[in-house]
Amino acid sequence: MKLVSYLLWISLFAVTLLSCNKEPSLQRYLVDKQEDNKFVKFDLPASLIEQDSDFLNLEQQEVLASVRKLNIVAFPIKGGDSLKTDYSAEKEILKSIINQEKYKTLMKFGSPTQGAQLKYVGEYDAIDEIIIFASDDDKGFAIFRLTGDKMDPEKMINVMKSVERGDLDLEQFNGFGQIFADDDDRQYDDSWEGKEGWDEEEEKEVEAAIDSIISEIED
Amino acid sequence: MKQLVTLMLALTITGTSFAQDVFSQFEDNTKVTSFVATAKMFELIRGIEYDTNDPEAQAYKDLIDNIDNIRVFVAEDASTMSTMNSTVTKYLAANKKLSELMRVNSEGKKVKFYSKEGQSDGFVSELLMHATGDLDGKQMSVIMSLTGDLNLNQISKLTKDLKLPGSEELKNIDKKN
Repeated sequence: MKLVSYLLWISLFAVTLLSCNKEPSLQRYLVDKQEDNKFVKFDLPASLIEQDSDFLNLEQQEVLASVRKLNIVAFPIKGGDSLKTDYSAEKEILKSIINQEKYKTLMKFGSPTQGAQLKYVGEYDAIDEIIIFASDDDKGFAIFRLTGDKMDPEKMINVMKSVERGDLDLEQFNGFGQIFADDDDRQYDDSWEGKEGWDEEEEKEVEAAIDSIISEIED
Repeated sequence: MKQLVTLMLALTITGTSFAQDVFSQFEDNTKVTSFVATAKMFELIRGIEYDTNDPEAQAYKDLIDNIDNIRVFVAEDASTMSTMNSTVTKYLAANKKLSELMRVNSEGKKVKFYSKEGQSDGFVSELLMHATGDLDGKQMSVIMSLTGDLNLNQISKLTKDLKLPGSEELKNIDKKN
């Protein structure tokens, strides 16, 4: 009988410990990093996305209204190995945060140098947070966090598909990917490379232009 | 009183073993290349509107309609490979309902499929693939675990598209079943 009560106390104690445990949250982490200039931050309140009622149908408006904010926080390590220790440390902290039970996994990919996770908080059809965490040991990591109020993922995806069709304009997001681009893989028009000299037609056009300029000067 | 304690203990034990299954140790192992998609993910994909006129989209829809979970783990270094191999052996010993579906031994590779019988003929509730040896010219160990109400004919299509090492053997799976 003594053993029984002993066990009971132990389990009660364990339960209290668990419930008292102040878990670190992603919110806390991101707030802490607001002032850290090793991080690149991008915040977009949903109110900034134009909610043009002529453009969106009622359902799309509802979906947009359930979204509160998009945060992107990135830790790029281009151009310096000195940041790699920080990178690994911060990555481990973030991993331990989003590996908590309340962050439920949708999808996960991992390899020795890269990783990506898609997670959510809340109920499946009423999501409070959607989190994408992606890391690459050569480029850095980024965390995308979409917060909202009872977001319905199915409806959101269907809205996103309408973005793809061009119904919605999300030009605002362009350019963010450049943070991770190495200088030498920035996009530029390299179509002229490999061509030798001018195209025949172009050559004639240019010749004609030069001729006309010369004749004008002579006049 | 004793019964209560036993019950509590039983609940704790089942609770933990349910949350931690043998393969989840590989999910965060940095030496392992892994891919995991959970039941919620498939639920989400099911909810997406798709073009009903596209036969390929329809085929995928049918396929994922019955998948709960998919997990793939690939290891290329010797020690992780042997951990994987022993984990599979342990898992099979603990789950007697998983029976060998087929086995392929060729050109230095070994591929084995295990399945747990499902509700009806041609369906399985769990499919486990374990491939070891020389896959795509490299020494590897691959574990693929699928759960749900799986139609073997459709699974072969999925694994073919995933281009998983060893999975090419699956194309014959429905013939042997």
